Amino acid sequence: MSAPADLVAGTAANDPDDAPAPTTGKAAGAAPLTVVTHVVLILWAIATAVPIIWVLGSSLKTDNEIFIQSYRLPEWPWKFENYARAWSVSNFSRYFLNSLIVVGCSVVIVMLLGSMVSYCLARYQFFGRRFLTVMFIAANAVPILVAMVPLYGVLRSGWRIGSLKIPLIGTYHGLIMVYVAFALPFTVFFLMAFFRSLPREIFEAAFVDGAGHFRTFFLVMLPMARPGLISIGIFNALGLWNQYVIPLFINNDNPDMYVVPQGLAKMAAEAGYASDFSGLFAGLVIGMAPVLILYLVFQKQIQQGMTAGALK
Amino acid sequence: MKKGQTPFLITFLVIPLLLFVFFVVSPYLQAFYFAVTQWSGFERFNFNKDFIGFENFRSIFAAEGLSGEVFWTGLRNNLVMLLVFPVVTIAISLFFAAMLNLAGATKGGRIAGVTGSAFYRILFFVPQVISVAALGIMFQQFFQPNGLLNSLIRIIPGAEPPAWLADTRFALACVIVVMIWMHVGFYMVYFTSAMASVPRELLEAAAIDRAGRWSTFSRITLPLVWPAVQTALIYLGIFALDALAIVQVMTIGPGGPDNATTVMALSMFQSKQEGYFGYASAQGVIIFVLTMVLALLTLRLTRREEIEL
Repeated sequence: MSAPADLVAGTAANDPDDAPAPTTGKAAGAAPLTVVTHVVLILWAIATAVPIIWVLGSSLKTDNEIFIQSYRLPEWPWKFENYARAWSVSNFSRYFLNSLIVVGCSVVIVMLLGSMVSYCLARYQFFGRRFLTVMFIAANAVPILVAMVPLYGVLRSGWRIGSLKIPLIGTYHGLIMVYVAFALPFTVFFLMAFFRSLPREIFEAAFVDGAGHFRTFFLVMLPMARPGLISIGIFNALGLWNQYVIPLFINNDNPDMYVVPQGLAKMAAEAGYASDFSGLFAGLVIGMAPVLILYLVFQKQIQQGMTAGALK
Repeated sequence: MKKGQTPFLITFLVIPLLLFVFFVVSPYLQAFYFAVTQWSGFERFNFNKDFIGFENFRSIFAAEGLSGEVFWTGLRNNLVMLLVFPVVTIAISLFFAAMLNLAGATKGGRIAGVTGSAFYRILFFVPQVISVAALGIMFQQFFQPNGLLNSLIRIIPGAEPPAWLADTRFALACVIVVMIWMHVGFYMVYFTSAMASVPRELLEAAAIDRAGRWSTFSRITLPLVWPAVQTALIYLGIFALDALAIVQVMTIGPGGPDNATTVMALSMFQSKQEGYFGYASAQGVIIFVLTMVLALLTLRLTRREEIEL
């Protein structure tokens, strides 16, 4: 069965709000469901926002205020000294610096190496290309947990080049290389599609103009892949800043080398003994703020980049 | 083949591939190798000296040795998570995705989302960009005996709320609620992009035919986004069999009270911390095999006829 043609035409032409009652089939049962929908959406919005707002509020309270009628707003004057304490006494400045160094270097390196690999895989025909492509795509789907214990062993043994011994465990370069290696498969996967979509003619034209392989890549292809590089760069920055399981296994020996998520876990574990919960909440805010700001600025790219990962 | 291609490819591929093989591929392979040894991780690894065959697996399956029953208690908790968490997360996020994209007024014959869709989409995704460590601590405090939740419940006169994470009856449920809370926004956005490829004419035709919302959803939208649902099931299932980070940060102990929230991966982490690398690797291999079996089973069991448009 279908609605008469004139009725349909009428619906499309008129503004649906002041159209007569029996417009489309949807409108009939729509009103009550819409109310339910809005209530559910608002409830979930509250459930999402309230814990985070509460953390922000608690970071400006005294410990007593936090535990007596915790839902209340912080009393004036707000205790900004909690932040100072978290930053210096709880060593948060150190964790923050560690995270900045490790994540900053990792993101730059993985973008460079990732674009190099994905460009080769997307634009050249060579022996082993299919195998490498499948390997990088498969690496995205394998859970990392099983590799963590041996990875610790790999880092502990370090590198020995002749009589020179290069330690890897508990060092910035060790952690950076691990982050780069684990972020590489998704970066390659993501950028490969990007390089494939660039028109082949430009690639050919660069060669005709006498540019070699290296110049074609750095001066022509890489600048054209900028939107993709930005998306994957933000994605990696967020993912690596938030990484917890990898450092938990391989960066757990020396608290001075902790990254922000580890530092937070350490503060939480010690908050009971140190009875400094307000400092813990301030630490949480310091830890969450960079990613939240990055998210609010780039929310479109981030949502696209992160969901593209699951679409493979 | 253009001139100079081979040196170019070698220059570009050698460093990333070395890094990848050294830090990713080799640890995966080594896990299977360590699993048949009693290497402690501290002295030099010597396969001939440390080789013990399947002894690690035997003692894990016999629930003796280092982790004893805890690993299997962990498996039970992982299975509870597996039963509840993926299905509930997908149901809620599918519902939200449908509401935000298709449930609004039919403007000029076009189907739109409810008002405020853009705002909800930004807000619901927020948990996904925050570190699991930070969220775990946040909810540890939220569920605290004097935390936000109980302070709200106590507004009701005479209410005596439980100590949530310290109560064996509620601890695991709290962890699962947090896991759902963390993932709904992400899968909502993910299903949104899947729904964008559902042809509007089909939905509009259904509306004209006076099909109800539920039958439109179950007969048109759901079958068309089914591949996305399948992917989501697999990813959430893998997460449910892991859950290390959230349990390690959020729960008492961690893994408590009385192993009520422990998971297999936590037992593996603890074995590694105590210096039983061979044993921990064997646990890792078991988790790995279970995860892979689960992923393949999900693929098989959820297979539907592909719908050609």
